[in-house]
Amino acid sequence: MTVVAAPARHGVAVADRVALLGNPNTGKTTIFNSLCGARAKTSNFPGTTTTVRLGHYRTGDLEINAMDLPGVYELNLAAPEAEIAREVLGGVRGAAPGAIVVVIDACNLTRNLVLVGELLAYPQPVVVALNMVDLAEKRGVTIDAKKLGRRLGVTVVPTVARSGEGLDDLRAAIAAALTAGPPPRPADLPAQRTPEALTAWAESVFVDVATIRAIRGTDAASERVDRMLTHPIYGMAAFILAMGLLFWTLFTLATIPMDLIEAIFAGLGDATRNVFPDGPIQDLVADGIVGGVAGTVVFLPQICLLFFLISLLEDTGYLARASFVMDRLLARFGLPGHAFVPLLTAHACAIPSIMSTRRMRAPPSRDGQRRSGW
Amino acid sequence: VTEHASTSIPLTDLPVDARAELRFSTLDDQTRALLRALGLTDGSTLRVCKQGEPFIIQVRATRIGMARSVAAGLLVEPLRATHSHP
Repeated sequence: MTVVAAPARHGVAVADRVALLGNPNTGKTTIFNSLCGARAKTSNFPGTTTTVRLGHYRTGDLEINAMDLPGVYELNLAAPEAEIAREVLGGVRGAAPGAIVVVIDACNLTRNLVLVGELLAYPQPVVVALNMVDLAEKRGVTIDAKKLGRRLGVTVVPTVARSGEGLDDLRAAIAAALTAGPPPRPADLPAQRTPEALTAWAESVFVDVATIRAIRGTDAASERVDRMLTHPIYGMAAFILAMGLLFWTLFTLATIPMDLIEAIFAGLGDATRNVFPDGPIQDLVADGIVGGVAGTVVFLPQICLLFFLISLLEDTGYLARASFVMDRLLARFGLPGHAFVPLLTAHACAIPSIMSTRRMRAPPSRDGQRRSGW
Repeated sequence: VTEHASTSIPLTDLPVDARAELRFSTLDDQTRALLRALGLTDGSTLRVCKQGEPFIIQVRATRIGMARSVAAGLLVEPLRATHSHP
């Protein structure tokens, strides 16, 4: 594990900007949340529907402003996420970040290294968070993080975002990168940054740093599951079962805290009625304030639980499979398969449903992709 | 390219578990760029995981699902089965 000493800065705290980048589904947001906690806020880039999360945290005397950029496979794509990433890194949208943190998935190292290769061309220091090392180990892939760091000329920190493993090392590495100068570019990085050239380079790095043990048929098993879950009949049956289970869990479990909240607020309303004399003041406090807050708070368990269950489905990879099943049905209405998530959430409350429509990354200009089931 | 064109077939013509090398595509630039970013670079080895809709392939360590019409636009050169099992 790479451990970097904290920078020797004393006195006045200095705010530094750090941009977090990575392929989609690399655990980048989990890392961001662990770094910044609940202090993060979500905002849209002016004139776009692409969201960015901003947060800050302290490492010693250093105040660090972190920006969680949307997931991108490649910076040179003509997608809005890639455009925004290029503009942020180039300093077009506010001051350019002082360092880049790129979160990579140890299970798909070659594909993720293509983005790293692109980022190494930027003048800022780069820190690599090699995430999901536990999952890669399970799949028989061991990556030598130190060797990878030497090949890339940057600090590589192995992490397991979910359990928080390696995050202290990552904080230290980010602080060190912010105080260090720009890193030397790896000598073998292709000058021509085409996907082919970068992939060939990424493959050579992978061969150099990865040890592959015999895999015990896990891929074959998950492929069988894939075939079943995306099957026109079995897939639909699995979908109905999964959604039925989700709603059953939601309504069964959520009623417990909801009944409790209702009882508490009813008691609170009665208490205020005893304190205030009959009249408009009593009505305002008991029915207006206490009743009003109760009417909002009572839905919180349902919304929180629904979000938790959906994130559980997403993390298991089921949502991606279910999207294919639903694509056949929703295509008739001009919607992409993953539009079923907002449709699903709307059953509980319209607000989380509207919030989740931002997952639907298909503005009209990308209609072709939308219909082809991405 | 002409030489490859003569031996290339649509990816959808391959059976499950067959491997092939990606030669070129008849897809629009935007779709091709996205597939390239997902790792389907020219010359990469693809394996068919599932036929039909969605069409699932494996490229390196990643499995990717796509519409069958997209897979039909990828022209490949089949590799011999013995190639993949050393």
